[in-house]
Amino acid sequence: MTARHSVGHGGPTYRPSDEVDFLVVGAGAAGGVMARELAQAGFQVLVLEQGPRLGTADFQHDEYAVSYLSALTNNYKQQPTTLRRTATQKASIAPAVGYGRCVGGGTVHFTGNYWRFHEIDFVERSRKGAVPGADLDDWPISYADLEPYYTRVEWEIGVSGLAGSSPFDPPRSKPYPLPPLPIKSTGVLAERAAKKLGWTAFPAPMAILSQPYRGRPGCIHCGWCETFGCEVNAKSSTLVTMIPEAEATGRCEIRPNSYVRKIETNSQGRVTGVKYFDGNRREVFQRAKAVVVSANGAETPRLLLMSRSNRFPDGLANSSGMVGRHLMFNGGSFAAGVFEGEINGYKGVVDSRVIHDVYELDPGLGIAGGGGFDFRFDATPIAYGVWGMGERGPRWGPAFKRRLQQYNHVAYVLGHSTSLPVSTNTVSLDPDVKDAWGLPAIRVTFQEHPNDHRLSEYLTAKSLELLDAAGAREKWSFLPGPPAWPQVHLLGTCRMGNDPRTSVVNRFHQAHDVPNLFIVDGSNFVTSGRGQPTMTIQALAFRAAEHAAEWAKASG
Amino acid sequence: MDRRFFVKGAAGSAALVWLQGLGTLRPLSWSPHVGNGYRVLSASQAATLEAMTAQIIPTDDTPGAREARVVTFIDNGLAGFAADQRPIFEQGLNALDANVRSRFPGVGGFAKLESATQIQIMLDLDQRDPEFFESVRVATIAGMFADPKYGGNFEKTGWKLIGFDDRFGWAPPFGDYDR
Repeated sequence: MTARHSVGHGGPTYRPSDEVDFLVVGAGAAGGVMARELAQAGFQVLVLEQGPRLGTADFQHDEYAVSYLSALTNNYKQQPTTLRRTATQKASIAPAVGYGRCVGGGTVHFTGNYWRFHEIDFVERSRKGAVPGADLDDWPISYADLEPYYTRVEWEIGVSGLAGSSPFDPPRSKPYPLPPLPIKSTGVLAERAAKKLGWTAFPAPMAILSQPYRGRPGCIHCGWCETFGCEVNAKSSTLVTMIPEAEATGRCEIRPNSYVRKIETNSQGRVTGVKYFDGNRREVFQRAKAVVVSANGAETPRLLLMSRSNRFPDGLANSSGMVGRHLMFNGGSFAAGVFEGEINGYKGVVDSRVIHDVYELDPGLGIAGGGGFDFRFDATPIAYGVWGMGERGPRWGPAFKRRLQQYNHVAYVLGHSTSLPVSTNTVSLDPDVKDAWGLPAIRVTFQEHPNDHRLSEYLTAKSLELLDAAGAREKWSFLPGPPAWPQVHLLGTCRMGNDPRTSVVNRFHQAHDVPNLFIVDGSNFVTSGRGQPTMTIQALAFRAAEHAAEWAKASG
Repeated sequence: MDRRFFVKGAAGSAALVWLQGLGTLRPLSWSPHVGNGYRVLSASQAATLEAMTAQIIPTDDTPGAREARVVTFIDNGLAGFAADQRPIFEQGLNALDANVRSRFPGVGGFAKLESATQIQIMLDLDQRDPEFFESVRVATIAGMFADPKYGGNFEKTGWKLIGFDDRFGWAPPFGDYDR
């Protein structure tokens, strides 16, 4: 391992009085890319991250200690969230959104599915038409605009896959840098099923190394990617890719345990820095020439709304009233089958084959959007017993025990799908509930568009067909419909667009209202895509960083 | 939506404590109870609880919750990482025992009832006191499959039952279909 790619904590230490070139809020999927790109471009960069900095020694395979608590994610005891279906209701405390809360953010514990969006995801409104009750719009950029940056993600963080293997793949300028990970039994079953339906199951693009790459080792197939940190650094989190590379420039400081509470502005309406709580809950004001908010689709709008001032009474960058609106999660479906032979889904990375034949649906169905499937078995043992048998499955007794003993014979078919943008689905500040720092809790208001429900039902039916085609001897489905909480794909709440009246940032992620404020994360999505948003978040970040650097050079 | 169904069935219920309670636990300070007796549960509470867990994951030609020492796990939890569940467990177990003693005087508690009678009482309990029932159910599953260092899953009984091998490093083929 070269020093350049080591996981050590390099980098300078800036003082609060130092006016850094860029202050990045959030060290996750987007923040890590922004930090590395801007630091490599020669700027002084400071990254403030709410959570701690962890390393491989902290990443244990202890389901009970890791999976269901908050070792890597937001802790609802310290940071409660509230939830309601409509704006007329009073929200109650419930786990509403989940996100990575450590250096690396969600990329530390994610599954690593790295689908590019397709061309249609950027132009669905103009190609397919409006959907009543949804604020469907085209993106201000096209797939072609983003393609070079998808390629950069694949090559710079390390993505395994096989170019040209999906007939639905959008055009690409380069193959994947790494071959696909080995096929699993779930993948073989996906291939069998797809073939019978006249579909294609293709090697899953994964942000996990199939071979050594850039000083990191290949995957050891421990199988516990989802929810857990990788103990060998084969998972291409920003923690082991972008962040050490940012620090190696000598210009980037990563400051963990730093919880930003307000972005400050001056009388000209320019950002001057941020106020944050340090690890001892002392308030610090850190100066900066420009601020990049990459805090995720829930924390980003929350921070902007908390940053209101006399000049920005409705929250920072919110003259359009769009901050926090159009919250989307990705919908989906969930079915399970029991097979004669052993599947052993717990060995090897979660996904090895994906099906995209439902990415765009037959217009005759009258369902907007679309989706994709994968075959997997990602239930760790406790999770399988608690929820893995479905709402209608056995809960205790001999039938329950029999299902438990089928652990190595079960395959799930997961559908991943469109969530339509609805203006009344929002992230806002809860008026009553506060977190442990006294800041207003994230309040989620969410009633899925009826189309999302119909799409979920359609994908559930198709999943059961796939299971039959794969030869399942028993099968069951989870109930389609409203989302289960907490949701983890947090999208759409600071839309990008050309019109300052209907969007928060321009096509280069610069706030329409505040020229030295950039917003770069899932909040910028205009549509949800079909699932697996991290790849697109990072492609946007590579592109945004290029423009932020040009802007900074031009504005001196 | 990788984790869309993450806490399905447990979200919003008190049972979630069993899945989240270790959040405040420092791993190195954790020392599971060993030896006879329990930290929190009385002998009769433990006997009732063990009989319940043995109906949730019964023993037949393969081991069940009893052999996995799930009650030791729960007792450790009630003494520490799931201490806020103590009232639910103590009240639930005491109420169950009082009910059994009045309906079946002289039998000596829930654990001494015939299996079919226990099942009937638990079906009823699932309807009448779903919070207590779900707490016991989730705690039983957690105790069956959590790392043995927490006091349950004795000698990996739970993992062996379902065929989970905690080697955490594999090479293909992983299963019968990818050979």
